[in-house]
Amino acid sequence: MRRWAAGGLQGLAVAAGAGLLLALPQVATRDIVTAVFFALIFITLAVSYDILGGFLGYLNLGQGAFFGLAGYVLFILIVKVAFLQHLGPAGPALAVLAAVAFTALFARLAAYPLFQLRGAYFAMATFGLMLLLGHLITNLGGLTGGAYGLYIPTELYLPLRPAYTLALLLTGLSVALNALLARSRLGMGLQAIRQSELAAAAIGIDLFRYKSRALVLSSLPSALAGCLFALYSGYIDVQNMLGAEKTLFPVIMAMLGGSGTVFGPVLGGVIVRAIDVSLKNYLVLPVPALGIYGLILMCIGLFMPQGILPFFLRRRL
Amino acid sequence: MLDVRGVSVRYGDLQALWDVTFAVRAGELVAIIGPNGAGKTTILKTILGLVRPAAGSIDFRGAPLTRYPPYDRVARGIALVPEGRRIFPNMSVRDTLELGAYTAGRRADLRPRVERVYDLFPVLASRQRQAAGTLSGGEQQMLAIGRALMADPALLMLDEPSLGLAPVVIDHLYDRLGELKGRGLTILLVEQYVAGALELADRAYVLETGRIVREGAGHELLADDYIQKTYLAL
Repeated sequence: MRRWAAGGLQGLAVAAGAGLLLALPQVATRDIVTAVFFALIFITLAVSYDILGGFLGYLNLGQGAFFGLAGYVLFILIVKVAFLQHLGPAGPALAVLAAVAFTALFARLAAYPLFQLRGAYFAMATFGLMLLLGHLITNLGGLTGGAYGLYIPTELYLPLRPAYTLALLLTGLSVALNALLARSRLGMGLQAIRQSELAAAAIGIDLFRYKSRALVLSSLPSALAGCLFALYSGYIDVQNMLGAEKTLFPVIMAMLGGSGTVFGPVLGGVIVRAIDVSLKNYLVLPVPALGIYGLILMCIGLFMPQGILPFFLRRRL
Repeated sequence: MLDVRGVSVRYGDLQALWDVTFAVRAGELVAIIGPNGAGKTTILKTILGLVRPAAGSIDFRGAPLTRYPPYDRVARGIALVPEGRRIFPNMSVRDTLELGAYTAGRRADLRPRVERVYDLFPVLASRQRQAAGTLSGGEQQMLAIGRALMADPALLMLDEPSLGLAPVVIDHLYDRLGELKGRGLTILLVEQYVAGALELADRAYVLETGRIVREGAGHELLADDYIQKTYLAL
């Protein structure tokens, strides 16, 4: 009974939150809607990061690579494939599909070298993969615009309102994906691998297949987030698509809120973005904002090593 | 049922197994005993396919295994209870068991299998909603064995099931192993708990620094001078 009540309460909270967010553009200022749009993009990154970080227990420091790669493929297609610009909204939509598919293929291929590694070596390799991508893009100027970046025609920009609605939808789908995964055979297998690779192999789980499926699944929402972000910005360069914050913030958000839980990365994302926005726009402090992040992370690590959500859930039981 | 012939294993410069040959016949309980670092765990990992042999062959039910990855070997009927139990601490007892039947596919009816495990280890039934990490050492070992049995294996391999357990718990576990043997299950048991393993085993092999140095019926080895002096301190 209590379990049902808790589940119902959670469902109610989610529905209320979604309703509020849907209504937000009607009532809030443009600044606030923009801030929430960026928050949704980052939360999607954090939630999709957690498929590897939380379920499988592999620290992926290259989540931003999927984000950046998808954005670049999308823009290259729009800029270089002329007929896409004459299809109206269907053009960018087709290009988004192609960009996400390309990114998923990239993830599938990256699985071969990456999953030869474990632990810190895996984390370093994923980070290296993203840096490598950044260098490639900087140096393939003919295709990618190099250090100048890429623009799309202004009539193809995605205005804030639809961008916001799509980001909200994407975040919802990303959370739903993790919730489904948590109950699925694949999700159970990933959790088994996290807790003991030897035991997982001993019960007949194909470790590589499961790990690479997790990587591909985690690439999809991140790739879509990259496309949304790029279409809204109208301009991309290595800094805004593949900057270190695209890959480090999701990790921080997931860990803060509670890695391995469905809503932990969401909660962590809300908190980190709230701190970020208030530090940058409203509070003027004599110390750099990064110092505050560091302090918060240290406190979480010391007092709630599992993250905020598991900390309070355990308290209640 | 299992034929290991001339298997050598190297970890880089270190050779862990030298030309190891042994067999397990259907319905037998075979023990491999030996000190720490002799290569006992390596033998089991090689049979499961987690370690690649540098030389030699392994046949299971008349077909060579060497080309198959671990998950195929499990599907063919080999189950391993790993050393140190390796239970999934955050998973419930029931979920752990159901995951143990992973190779049975998603539509299989697992209830009879779960019931069989609960019959063997009734304490697991009373703990089925509990997280595995909260069980006692003995209960965790029972869960690890139950998880392996869920795959309905033809060959059950156990890696030091007595490790870190109280003598009374070990006795209980060995009674259950005897029960499994009595039902006709083929078992390969790796142990440092020599007295118990030899008492239970039909046949046994002694492994020292990667080589098999003695073999014979369990009760023969139990009476063997060398074994008594080296392993039983008699």
